[in-house]
Amino acid sequence: MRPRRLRVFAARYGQPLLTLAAMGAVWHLATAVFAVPAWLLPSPRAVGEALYGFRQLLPQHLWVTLVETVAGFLLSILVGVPLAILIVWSPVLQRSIYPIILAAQSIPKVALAPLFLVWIGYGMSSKILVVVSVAFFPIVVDTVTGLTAVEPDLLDMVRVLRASTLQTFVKIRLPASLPYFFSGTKVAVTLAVIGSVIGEFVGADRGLGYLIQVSGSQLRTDLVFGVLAILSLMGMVLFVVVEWLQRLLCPWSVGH
Amino acid sequence: MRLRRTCILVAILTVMAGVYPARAAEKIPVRFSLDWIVGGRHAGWFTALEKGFYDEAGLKVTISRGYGSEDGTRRLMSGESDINFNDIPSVVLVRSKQGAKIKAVAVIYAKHPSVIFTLKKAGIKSPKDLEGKTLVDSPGSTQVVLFPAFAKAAGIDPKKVNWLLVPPDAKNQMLLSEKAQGMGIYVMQRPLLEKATAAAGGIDQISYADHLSLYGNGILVAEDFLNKSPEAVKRFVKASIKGFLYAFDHPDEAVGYVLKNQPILDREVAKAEGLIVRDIAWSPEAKKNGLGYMDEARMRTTRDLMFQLYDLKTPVTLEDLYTNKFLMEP
Repeated sequence: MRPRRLRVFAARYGQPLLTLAAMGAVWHLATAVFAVPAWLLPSPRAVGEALYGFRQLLPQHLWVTLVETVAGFLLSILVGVPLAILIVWSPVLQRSIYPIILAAQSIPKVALAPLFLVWIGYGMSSKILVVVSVAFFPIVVDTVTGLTAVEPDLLDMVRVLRASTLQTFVKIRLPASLPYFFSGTKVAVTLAVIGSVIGEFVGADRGLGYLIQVSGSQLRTDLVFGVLAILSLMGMVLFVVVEWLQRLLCPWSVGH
Repeated sequence: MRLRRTCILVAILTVMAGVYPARAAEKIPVRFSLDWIVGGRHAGWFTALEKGFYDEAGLKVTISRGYGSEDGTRRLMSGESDINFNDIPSVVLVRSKQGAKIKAVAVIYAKHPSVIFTLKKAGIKSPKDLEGKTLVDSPGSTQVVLFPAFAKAAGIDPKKVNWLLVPPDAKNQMLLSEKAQGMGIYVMQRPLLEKATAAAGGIDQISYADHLSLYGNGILVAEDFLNKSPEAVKRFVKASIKGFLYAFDHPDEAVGYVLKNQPILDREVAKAEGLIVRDIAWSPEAKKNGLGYMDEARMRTTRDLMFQLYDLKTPVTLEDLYTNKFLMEP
């Protein structure tokens, strides 16, 4: 790498990478010095070896969880955004729907997941539904906030210019809400990963959550840790993708 | 001349086209679900599958994992599964409580597999030593449910034993980290635990089967499917028994078939699990009448025990509960 690119890379990623490396070293030392049993805390090397040993198995399960997560996430947007618009558009709907959404959010999803599975089946669709149930709330709340948090001066100005309600909505409120919407989606996408794993824990025969379950039951804690690392990586990648979309669609909102 | 040859060729091809799909259509599809995640104990099923015993019997069998006996019942009643491998005592329960028409057509775990494993260093040698101790298991598990009956038969006070209930995947860790002195689970778990506790001195085992004579898991079918496709049930039972017999005699080969389906297993542990199934499947009645045979007296004991434990009201006849006919008919 050219010296300048190296410097930029180091500046941006140097600190977190060094911290991770240091943590990894401490972890390895701890397992060695304290002779921790492998089923309790595997060494980083054992985790790496487990991942490498099962590398042919991982892609198919990763794909299943990824599809569940992304499909559920997209569905949450499809459900959440119109819901948010409805809430902002009609105060009547806001008073009637919003409390219900709040109540639904308070139900622990680990309790809902088994019900979904019995109602819908043990295939991917029940997991997607669990994802929607965890991911749609931040999208709705943040989009509602965005649609309502428009500068009053701007609203006054377009009213003077005799803008219709629809024009105000489409040309002023919607663009203004984009940064808030993306804020919500960034939270939602990380929750979506958790949602698909919860769904898989309750009942699945494929996916990373299922792998964790099988590995755990076989006391392969090294593989459990490895799959957890992959899950966290997947969450990070999805987060970055959403942020990239934000940079693309509403560049004015992304600052450093 | 050319025309005649072409006609004969076309005729032959047509006949073949007619016969061949008919042959392939003869394979009856059977959706079979297990009791839990695929493990070494399921060697018999996968041997029957991979060695073509089901194929030879004209069955196209798909094996899927299970999620416990409640789910198994649900699958059978909803038709999601045609045949299920699950515990026979729970058939008594659902027949009486829910009117669920399920029948046992073979038993595999003829000696009941529920045991309490303890770390050797805890020094628990007999059921009496369990008093005052904490045992770990998952909510609703067979060991927890059967414990009052086991305690009575073994002459101990069940109230003196504490149960710590955790999700099924956390049980092993609870025992290994000594947060509980004993763990309730099926005996097939022994090889995995022996391996994990080798450094800590190994494990001791207290078997429910030493004091209770009830049956464990067997092949379960909904009566609807049984009446609709008795031939399929018979062929499935026979091919499965054949699979188990082969797996018992060829454990190295059989474990390979399991690993093909569940690569995360440890080969030696899985193989040992399969051999434990061999031990508990060969009951005296099985040795006399063939693997899978269900003895009437033991079935009666199983039924009566469940009625006692759950205080069931609606009677269940033995004819409702099980039949050996698919095992015995040629």
